[in-house]
Amino acid sequence: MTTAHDRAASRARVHAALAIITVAALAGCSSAISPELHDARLTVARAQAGPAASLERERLAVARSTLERAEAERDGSARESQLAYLAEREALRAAADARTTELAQQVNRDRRTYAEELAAIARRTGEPLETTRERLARSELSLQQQQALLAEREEELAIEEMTRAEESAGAREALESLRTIAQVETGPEESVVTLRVEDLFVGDRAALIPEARAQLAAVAAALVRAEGHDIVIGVHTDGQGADTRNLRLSQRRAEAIRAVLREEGVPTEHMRAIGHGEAEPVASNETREGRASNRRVEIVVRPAADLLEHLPAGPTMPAPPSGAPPGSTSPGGPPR
Amino acid sequence: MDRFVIACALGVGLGACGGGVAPRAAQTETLAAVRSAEGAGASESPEAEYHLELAQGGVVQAEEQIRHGRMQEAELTLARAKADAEVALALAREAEAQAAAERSRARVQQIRSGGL
Repeated sequence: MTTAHDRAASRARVHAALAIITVAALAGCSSAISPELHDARLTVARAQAGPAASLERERLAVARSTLERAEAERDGSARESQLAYLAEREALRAAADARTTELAQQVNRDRRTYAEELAAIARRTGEPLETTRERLARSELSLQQQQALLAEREEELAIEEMTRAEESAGAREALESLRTIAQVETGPEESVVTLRVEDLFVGDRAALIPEARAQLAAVAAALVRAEGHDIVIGVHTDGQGADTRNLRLSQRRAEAIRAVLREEGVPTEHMRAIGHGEAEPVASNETREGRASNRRVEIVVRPAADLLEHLPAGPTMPAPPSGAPPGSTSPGGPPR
Repeated sequence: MDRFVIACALGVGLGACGGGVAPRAAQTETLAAVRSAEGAGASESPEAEYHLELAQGGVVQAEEQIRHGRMQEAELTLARAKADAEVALALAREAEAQAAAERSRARVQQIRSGGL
């Protein structure tokens, strides 16, 4: 059965064809040949070059003769377009009937081949021909059943993929709503919500400021819609101070954020908290602005690992911001 | 499909209100050709469906022309519609033959590949 798209395309072609016919019929005094004559010439020529030339000689002869009558008419006249239309249809019919004949001949040849192969198998196995035929029929049935099961499984997989794609789209949509309070970058394979450390923590401690809970509650509301996704809370520091201290501080901060998100209803099953310290700067630590950019919280949301293989390939994440030191990773880059 | 055919068949009986004789024989033949194409499953392949829809559209257009007394135009329209219906039928038969050929080829491939 044709698809909805095929039917829509077919209807469009029908309307266009009827419009052309109407215009040609009204043309009357046009000095150019009708579109029907143009099409008829092509179609008759094509049919003559194919199997119709030998298999549908009579019908093709009628098509040629009708075309000749069309050619003899006044250019662009209604009679020319009418005869050309009929000539083209005659040629189309001849070509289709010729192909049908060829296909029927192919089926007959296949039947003979099948019978020969069957006889050869019977001779090799030493069993009666009828037994061989029955065994083959059972085998064909088994093959059909296997194909049906395969088709069913493929349909199940397609539905699963569609569901996961919808879930990912839902998660992305939820995260997009956070743009007023955070930097958000969404993609088909992962999304990243970036928050400023100054908006969440006091000085160089792991204690959350009172206003942080409201912000994290909004983030949690979006993350709750990301069911079936992995959530990685990554906290980064700038380059000031000792490496080990920055690493410990960022880890405590990540855990503090995870605790609040858990309290706000985000399932912890696929949620991890990772302190990166100063290891992954996105800007130079030589400037105040650069250090502020490096002090950040990145919440990365991606489909759970066992689901990723079913997702189609999507666009790549944006390049690192300009001015970032060499080797810095961009938000949403490789797993941290 | 049945409603369409019945509606057109009723149109055959209406006749013309003036300006010549309604091309009833042409209408009957064209309707029969359309019916054959529909019965052969012309709506199940895009190319055949295209010509079937042209034919059906032509039948309706001819009805309108007959109602307005434009008998000659209606005859021309019916001639085109019949031609399209016959193409639709031919293409529907080709599609069926194609499916049969694919099935027979698959059987041969299976037996050759040791389908037993």
